[in-house]
Parts: sequence; structure tokens; C-alpha cells
Amino acid sequence: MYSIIYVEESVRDTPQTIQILKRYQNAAIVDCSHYGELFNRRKQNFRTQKQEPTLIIARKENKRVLPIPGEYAIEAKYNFYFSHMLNCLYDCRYCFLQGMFRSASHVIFVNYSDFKTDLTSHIENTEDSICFYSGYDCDSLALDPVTNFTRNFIPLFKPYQHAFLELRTKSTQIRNLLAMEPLPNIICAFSLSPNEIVDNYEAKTPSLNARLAAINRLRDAGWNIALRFDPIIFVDGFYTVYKQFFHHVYATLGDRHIHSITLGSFRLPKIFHKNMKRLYPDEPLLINGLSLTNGQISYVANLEKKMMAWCENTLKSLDSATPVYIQQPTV
Amino acid sequence: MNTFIMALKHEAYHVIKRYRLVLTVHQPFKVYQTQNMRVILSGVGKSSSYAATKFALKDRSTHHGLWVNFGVAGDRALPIGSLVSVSKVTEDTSARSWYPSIKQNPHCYVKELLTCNTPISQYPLNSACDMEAAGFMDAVSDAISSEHIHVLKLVSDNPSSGVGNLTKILMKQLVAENIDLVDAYIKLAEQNLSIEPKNLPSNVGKIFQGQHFTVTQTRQLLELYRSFSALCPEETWPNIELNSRDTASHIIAKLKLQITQLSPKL
Repeated sequence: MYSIIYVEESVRDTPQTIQILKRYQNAAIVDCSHYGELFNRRKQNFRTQKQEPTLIIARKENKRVLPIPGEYAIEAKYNFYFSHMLNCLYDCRYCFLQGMFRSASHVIFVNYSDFKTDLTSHIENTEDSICFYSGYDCDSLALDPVTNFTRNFIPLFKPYQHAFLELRTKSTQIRNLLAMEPLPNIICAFSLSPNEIVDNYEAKTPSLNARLAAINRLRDAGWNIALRFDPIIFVDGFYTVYKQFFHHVYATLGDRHIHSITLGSFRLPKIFHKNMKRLYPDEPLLINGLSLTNGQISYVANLEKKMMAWCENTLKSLDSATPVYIQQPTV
Repeated sequence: MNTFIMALKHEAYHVIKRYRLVLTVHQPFKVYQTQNMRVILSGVGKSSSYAATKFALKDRSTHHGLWVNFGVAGDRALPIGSLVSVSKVTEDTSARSWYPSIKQNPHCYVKELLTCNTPISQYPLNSACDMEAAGFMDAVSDAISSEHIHVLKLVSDNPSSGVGNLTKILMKQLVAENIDLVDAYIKLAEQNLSIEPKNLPSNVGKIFQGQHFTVTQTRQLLELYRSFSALCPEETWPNIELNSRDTASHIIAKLKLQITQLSPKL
């Protein structure tokens, strides 16, 4: 998959790096001193690079575990996120990473032991509930066969009942999870969208049915499942499209227990939106019905309110037992 | 328009011939070009290469094409005539590094390159060596998107041949033998380039001809045109009323309002 791999000199000989490089024996390997030399350089085109992304294997020096904005919290008292990867295999047109990062290269931070030390320190610092989100800057599972992220990080949570890990994903790479003992404090959170959205805006992702099949396999194996309907996107025939979608999801999942649901409408910080429009100037998704409010680009107030209220009511009519959380955009 | 920065005319001879380039500029650097391609002869050394690249960058209409530093290089291990797509350029004196784009290709090696101030007889262990690439990379990296920048080298000398035996005839011959590979490499590299239109279509541009738009306003106009076309692909733009007293900023405000009014209804 990768024909060019850049490797930071500091991690060149780590077992994790060696294991990854073994998978890509035909790739050109190029040494670099710091991933930022490539990833953060000024003149780059995310869209062009996305056609054939390169891989960078690096060390995350600091700021490995960061607090999340309060409005994104679900149940836990303390909420943090961490990213063992930057960027994603998938190419979702609405994804904020396109506007946040200059480069579309995939970065894998292989100093897992440093991440684990930081996570443990946060966990042991409190007796209150604490949740860690792993899928903000990447998809948690999409590259799991390469990174072995789940095998490395999930066991860390076993002794701590007050600590939770949310894996946010659109992926069907669940083999590692199925081979492990399910833990009650791990939440496999799947982002789901109607087929119309998957087909038009979620390039390279598994189909809705493939994701639902993965959910059922994980749930049947004993893993916690959460559903993430975020972003909700305005499309022609919105009510029909989303009604059919929600009904299809619940018909497929049957009476399997769902940990939680979150709902969020399409929204972006102004600067990310500006960068994305520069990359995709002809993309209606980035224009249609959007307006600027308090530094955030989102659907015009009335439209957003109607869409979200309708989605929430529809979901509650299908499933009154699962808590629904609304992800509100704030700046 | 693709831009090749090359040190010597002997290296460039077969490139000029292959692409039927014509000498259009004599000073401060010789420029050979056609509509889609140009070669700038920099002379030897990284300072010359830096200056020639800066000179070439002044023509902003060329910034969306490929920028290639092509020429001969020495290497400890590779046979003479090997084509190398350079993955990393390091300047020997400062140890600064740059990362040109690479195209993996079965006929082309991928290797690092060390740019030295003078010809050397002790070839570096793991990289090829030349005298220009660092100057080219230093000049081009701040101006051109990284995916457009390539450094291509032909191995002209190694420990068994020595740099002393590198002649003008050999340079010409090496390029002649590899020109098809270079051409194939360029075609491959071009495939990934963005082909976004950078200007308003001429029929639309004519409508605004009487007005003075600043550079920023022209960019805004192009963006508004694209937004409108994305939302209403069947309609002609602009379909607002313009009158002779409208200034450029009035026109832009009207067009922005029009896009806002296209908001969908539930």
C-alpha cells in the first residue's frame, strides 16, 4: 500500500518500526530527523497527496494525552484524547483533518510505551471516571493490522474499572478485537451514515452494511458498541433518507444492547472550512446551507435545529433505552 | 509548464532536442522553452542553481507545473547510467535537508543525495553526490507545493570511473540513453498534479472587464464563481443585476448574498 516510508532516525530500530517495515518490503525507506520536516512544511497540497499518501513512522515527543473540549464529553468526569496516528486511510469529504493538517501523509507514532505511561499516570491520578478517545486525528481501527493498536492499548485498561477507552471507527478491521477478551470499559464506537452519504462523501470506507455486520460480530462477542451519527448531513430528501437509514440500522442490530448514541450536525472551525474549500472549491457539501456563527461554520440555525431535533426524536422512538448525546459546536 | 533546472548545456542537450525547445532568454540565464516545458541553464554549483531557480520562479504562471532538478551525479555503488529519483537532499556544509517528491518506478533507483561545494573523490557511503540540488531545493521549497518538486540524477561517475573521466561527450551520451526513462518519469509525476482551474472562464471574465479587482478580490470572485457553479451547475453565472456604478466590492457583496440565498429548505 505504501511505496514510500519516511522513518525518524530515533525510531529506526524499534521492534514496532521493524515490524511495520516488514509489511512493506518494496517501499522506498527514507530517513528523516523529525516527522515535522515533512508533515508540517508549508507548501503542500492535501488533496494531491491524498491520491497516494506516504507513511511516516515517528516518535511523539510530548503532549501525547490532551483534554477534549467539554461539549464532546459523554459520561465520564474527565475526558482526554490521544492519537497514535495522524490522518486516515479513508477520504471523507467532510473530514476536518483535511483542513487541519497540511499533509495527507499517514503518521504512526510508535513509542507506545510513552503513551501508555502517560495514560496510566492520568488513570491513577483519579478515582473518578475518566475516558480516553482514540479516534480524533485518525480512525482507531482502520490500520490496526499494521499498528496493532488494540492489542497494545486495550490490556492497559483491564485493571482500571473507572477508566474507559473509546475506539472511534468506520472500519471493519476487527480481527484483533475478536481475538481478545472483551472488556466492559472499552467502547467500540462506529460512525454510521446513510448509503447516500457513504457513496458520495465517504470514499474508501466500508459500506454501511459492512459496518453493521462488524458491529453485530463485536456485540455478539461481548464488546460494548456505541453509535455515532456525526456528521448529520443535509441531503435532498433528508427525512426519507435518514428515516430509512435509522430504521435499517435498528432492523440490522436487532435488540442488541447499545452503549450510547451521539448526534452531531456537520460543522467545522472557520479556518478548517477555508482550507477545505481551497482544496475542493467545487464541492457543494462545503457550501450548501452553511453559514458562519461564532467562528464556526455550520448549517444555518433553523436548518440545523430542525435536522437535529428530528433525528433525536426519530432515534428515541426507535430506541428509548439508549442515551442520546448531542454534540454541540462551540468555539 | 514543467521547469527543468540543469547545470550544463551538455546535460541539457538531449532534453532540448527531445522536447524541441527554443532559446528564448539569454540573460541572466539561458532559457530554452516551448509551451509546456522549459529548461533553465544554471551553471555549476549550488549558488548558481539557487539563483537560476529564483529567477525561474519569477514567472508565477509556471508554479503549477513540475519543478525538476536534473543532471549528473556521482555514486559509490550504482553503475554509470543509473537513473536516481532523489528522496532526500542534504547540503554538506550546513547539514540542512530537503525532501523532494519521489516516484517509485522499476527503472529508477531511489536514493539520498549529498550536495557538495567542490567535486569529490571520496564518494559518500549511502548517498549519491552532486553540486547543485541543495541550491535548487533551498530556492524552490518555499514557493512550490512539495508534490511538484523532483530531483532526478543520472549516475555519471563512481569509484571505478572517477570524476576525472567525466567528459562532455559522456554527459551527452548518458542523457541520450536515458531520455525515454526521464520522459516516462515525468509523465508519471504529472499524473498526480492538481489540475484545478486557476482563472475564471474567459466568457465570465469578460463580464467584469470594466471593473478593477484587486488580487484578493479576483480570488474571491473565482471562489464565488466556483461556489455558484457547484450549487447550480445548470445556470449561467453571474445572474445578478449589475449597474455601471457598482464597484468591485459592491459586486462581490451582491454575489455573496446570492450564494447565501441559495440555502436549502427542509
